[in-house]
Amino acid sequence: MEQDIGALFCAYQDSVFRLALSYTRSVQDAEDICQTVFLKLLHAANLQPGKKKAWLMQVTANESRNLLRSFWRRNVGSLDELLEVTLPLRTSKDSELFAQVMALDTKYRVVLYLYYYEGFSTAEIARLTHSSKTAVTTRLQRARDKLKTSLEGAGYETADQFGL
Amino acid sequence: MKQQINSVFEQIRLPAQASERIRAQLDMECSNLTEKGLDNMRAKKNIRIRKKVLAGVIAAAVICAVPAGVYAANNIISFIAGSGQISDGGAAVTFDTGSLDSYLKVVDGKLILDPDGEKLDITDELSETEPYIYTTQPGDGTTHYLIIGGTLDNYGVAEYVRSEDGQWQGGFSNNAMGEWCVNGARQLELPWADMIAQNYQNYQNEQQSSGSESSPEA
Repeated sequence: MEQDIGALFCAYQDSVFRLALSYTRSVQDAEDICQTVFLKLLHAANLQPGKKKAWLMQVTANESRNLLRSFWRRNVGSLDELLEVTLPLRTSKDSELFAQVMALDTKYRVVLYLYYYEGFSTAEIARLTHSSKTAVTTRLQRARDKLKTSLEGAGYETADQFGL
Repeated sequence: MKQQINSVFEQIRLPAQASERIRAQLDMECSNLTEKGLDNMRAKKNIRIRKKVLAGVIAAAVICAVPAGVYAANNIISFIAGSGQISDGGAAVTFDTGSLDSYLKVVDGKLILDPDGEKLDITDELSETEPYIYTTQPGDGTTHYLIIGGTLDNYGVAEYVRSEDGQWQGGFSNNAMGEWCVNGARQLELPWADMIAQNYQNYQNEQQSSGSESSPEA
């Protein structure tokens, strides 16, 4: 493998997978998107230095949205989706928080991931998600509120133990 | 909150098996890349296989979602873009070896349809409500119907295939969420027409829901 592509794959494979998973909630689809994105990177010409991560995340967001809009996805879903996302996490508390994040609507899951984990600004998220900054800010607030409510609804007396 | 979410997402990683598979695929692609090969591959795009529908558990969902008999048994359909679909009567797998711009793209402000070397300028036919329907017969007994619509900035296409005996074999769409596609499906009397209309309705509802978020909550 060319060194540059190999290094980029090592550095960003998980970020691409997480964003695709946040959109699709399907491990299989997220893996497929990951493959597509890096193959596109291989064939992409003249990417600006320092812009490769942004390019990867943008292409991942586009591919994920295309998948969600596709005829087959909208009508039949996937096996992963039916079984729900199950990934091994360290503690039951982590598993609960992940399950509750994945249970949120796509628009909330994606902004939570991009803002808190990837550290993107609301302006950057707006560009990635083809939304306005105001919509991103509103989604973040609603995502926090919904997460707190769902955790409390899941039997946790207070969401404080999750830092909410 | 940041700390808690980071702690969770940090544990989410591309599964090792998938990582190795993709790395091997990239290795293979790289090894094929000569200067000449690079040019060719940029044009051809990549080969991707994606499971859209799985047999067994999914079969019930397929039967509910798609009227029975719309897939011929053990059928392989080749679409104009190079995409394909294999079905066994109850489930289907689609695969994609091409892209929309291989036969439909904007050139100098004109939307050019070029499925078989004709290079048709269909700019004036483009509409957000009325479909442009192109029909072609590749010579294998099937008839392919391309429903095209949208705007120059946001156009899409849906392709449906009918066999020699008049049975609809299946379809494939790309950025086809629009009234033009719903109307095209109805004009062709596709067995999926109602489902396509419902999908578009759901899509519109989602868009409206997203748009309403821009205003502050009460």
